[in-house]
Amino acid sequence: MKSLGNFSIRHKRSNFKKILLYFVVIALFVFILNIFAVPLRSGFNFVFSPITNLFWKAGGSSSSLLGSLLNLGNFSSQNQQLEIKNQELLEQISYLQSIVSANQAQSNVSMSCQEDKFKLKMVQVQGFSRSDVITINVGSEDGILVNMPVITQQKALLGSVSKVFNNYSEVTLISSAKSNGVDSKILCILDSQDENKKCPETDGIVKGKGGLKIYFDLVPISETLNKDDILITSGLDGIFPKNLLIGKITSIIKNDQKPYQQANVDPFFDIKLNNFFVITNYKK
Amino acid sequence: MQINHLIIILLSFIFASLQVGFLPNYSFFGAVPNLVFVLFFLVIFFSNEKYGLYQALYSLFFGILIDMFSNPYKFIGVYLILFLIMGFALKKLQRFFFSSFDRFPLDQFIFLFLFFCAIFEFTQFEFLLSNIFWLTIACSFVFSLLGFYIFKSKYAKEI
Repeated sequence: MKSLGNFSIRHKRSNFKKILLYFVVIALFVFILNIFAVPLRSGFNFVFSPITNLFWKAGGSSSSLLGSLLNLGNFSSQNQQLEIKNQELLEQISYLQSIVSANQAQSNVSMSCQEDKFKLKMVQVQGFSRSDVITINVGSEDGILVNMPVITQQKALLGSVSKVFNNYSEVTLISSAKSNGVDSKILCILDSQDENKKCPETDGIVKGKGGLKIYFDLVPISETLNKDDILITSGLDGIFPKNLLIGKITSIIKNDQKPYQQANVDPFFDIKLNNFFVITNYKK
Repeated sequence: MQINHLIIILLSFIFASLQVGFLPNYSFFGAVPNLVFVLFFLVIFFSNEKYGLYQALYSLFFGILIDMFSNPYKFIGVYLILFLIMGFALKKLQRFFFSSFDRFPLDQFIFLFLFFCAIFEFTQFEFLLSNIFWLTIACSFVFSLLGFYIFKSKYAKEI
């Protein structure tokens, strides 16, 4: 019996030693991996970026083709809506043209502040790293730094650079639940029918819900939010320049028990586009 | 047998590239199936009953792949360790639920897949129990069912 007991204890000890050895080997392996983390990830990206890029382009073009095929039935009604919208916009243009001359000098100054000082670097999407995080084909070798804003060709805000590697970077979209939020305000659109209309000065923070969805938060309950209001960056956060397009309000969520109201927002950025721009000289 | 390993390794690279590059264009309300995890689960589930060298090497390989392709953390090795633990736990649970009638029953597969997929997705997102969390699990589950029948018919005895 004694010898059986000794054997059992010895067996347990050797098992324990084995498990301990496994742990040490794995810990050592992970430690070595982390020492070479940056070159490893950059190397991995260097090898796989052409493939993921190819898949990204193929996915984008095939999904838009599929989307247009699925929407074939809605084309006539969409066309009618667009015609009406077009007429409204033409009317707005004619009104705006009348006030352009008065504001031209002022707008030129503000436009030059907003546009001319920005250095833009065109980047291409390589794919999604994970939910609401994309990888782009430029890295620290191209002068990219963390927190640099990324925009679309139409000046719609996409997000900011969150991780930088040698030859690629990760961009956290504004729709990511992990993003810090974007200080934003409602864009004032002058109304041709109502010349006395005052622009609301509603500020809030656009936050991400994940899954390419965003919402407008921390808007005082006393402020008026309307469906189809357009949100732009206010520039108060110091990360994003002001007057970048964010999205359009689709629905308002009010709860009298809360001091703030929220609104669901349809973002303007289209992730299926291939080219985006990093603002390389705004980071404060 | 060697060819099977090669096919799985090749498939894993293709799936990882598809997951990162192609599938986000077809996201289902923002959710994208995690094909690499699905393949990892299938490989471990349909391998020999005990957690041995092959299973450990596969766990290491898939873990590193996820660490490289879609790691939300600065630290490399989170998924390597997670997959080693999950692989070990999966084989233990499989032995616990062992049925002599069917080595790879569907109900066992469904239960274990949903359980481990939830753990995996929990480490990927911070918005646990949100719509995207459940949708991602559902999308992965659809692909896993497809893989279940393919693996059951072809690879169950060989890996």
